[in-house]
Amino acid sequence: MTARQHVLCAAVLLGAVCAVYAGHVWSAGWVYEDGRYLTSPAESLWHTRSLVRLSWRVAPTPGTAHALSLGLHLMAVAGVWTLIRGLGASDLGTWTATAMFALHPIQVEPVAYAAARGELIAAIGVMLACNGVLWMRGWPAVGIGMGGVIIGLAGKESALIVLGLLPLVRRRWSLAVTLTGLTSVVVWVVGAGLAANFRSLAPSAWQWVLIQATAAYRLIAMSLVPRGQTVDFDYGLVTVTMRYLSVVVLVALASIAWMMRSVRPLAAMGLTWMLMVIVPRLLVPTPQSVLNEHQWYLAMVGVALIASDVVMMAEARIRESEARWSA
Amino acid sequence: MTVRRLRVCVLVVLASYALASIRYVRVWQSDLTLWTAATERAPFAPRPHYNLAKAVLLAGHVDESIRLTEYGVRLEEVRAR
Repeated sequence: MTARQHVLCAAVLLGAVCAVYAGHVWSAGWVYEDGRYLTSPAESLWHTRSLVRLSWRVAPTPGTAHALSLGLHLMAVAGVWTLIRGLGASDLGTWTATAMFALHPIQVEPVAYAAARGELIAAIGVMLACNGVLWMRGWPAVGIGMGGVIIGLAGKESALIVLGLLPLVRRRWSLAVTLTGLTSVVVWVVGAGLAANFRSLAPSAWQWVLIQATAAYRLIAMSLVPRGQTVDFDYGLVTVTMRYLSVVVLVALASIAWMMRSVRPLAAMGLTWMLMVIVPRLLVPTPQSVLNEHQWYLAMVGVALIASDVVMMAEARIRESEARWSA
Repeated sequence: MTVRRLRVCVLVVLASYALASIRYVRVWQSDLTLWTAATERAPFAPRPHYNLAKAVLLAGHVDESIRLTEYGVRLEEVRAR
């Protein structure tokens, strides 16, 4: 693909994303908890999620807030393109994954729901850190990596998972596993502290894992076939068997990622990425907030990586059979 | 299958995603559209009904809001059993 064709693809993708959200940006008002957060009295910026608070001050009306969220989504999309390109995907694989991340209906909630902007900022920070580590070496890599981590954490605490994702991006599996283990320990400790605080609100630890695993399973299925989207899924109707089955599916996916690590490294990385982003959500109990679509935003990068690898695999097989025929 | 056909397949899938997004983004226009869609998806969940009741009340339909709230309370009672 020539540079001109890349620019053309980028322009088409940009146009498609803007077309999807055009009506929403101009006509939508505050929705759900937007009003409560964005119109609440200004708090100090030196607080958790300071970049989110700053963004609320910068764009205080519904129109500007939605336009800003769309702009941030496009920045994250650019980050995903750069990451997948850097990981060695083919042109078709790169553009498929990027377009999937940009246009998938599961991404509507984080873009359209202004109160969920932390997810967008966290994803931009994570993308910046991963791209810095991937494309650069030495001090520039450290600087951009740290900058990305800081930006991500100023968006949402969940960006902490970037510490586990960075070694993955460098494809150093042993280090990745070690750091993932360490990150999990930290998350467990933090989770235990939070659980103590939220004991009156959150269900018991194992019940929490079960319900979050069910939500994760639902979101994984919806990433492939986007049907049944809703802001408030009724998990009360999900049977206990299905909840346990969801845990089994997540464990099975982790095993598949491990087995595929050398055969299909990009797909394995995508699966690992997705699961790593989910793990803290399984362990840290948050009051009355089951894993939802806007919290899936960063995990969707993993799904995009898998899509990229699937397309590349199909492409390679077709070329192989074409070469056999011509021979 | 050729690479060209693969590209067409990929484009069709991506176009279907984009169309689904266009449809779903309309749900996020206001509290009324959001919670109406949520109650359709989860007809036996109390919370979407309470939130829809609030949105309906803000739109000035007091009777409908009361009906939805009462329905939400009934759902909660059924679940508590």
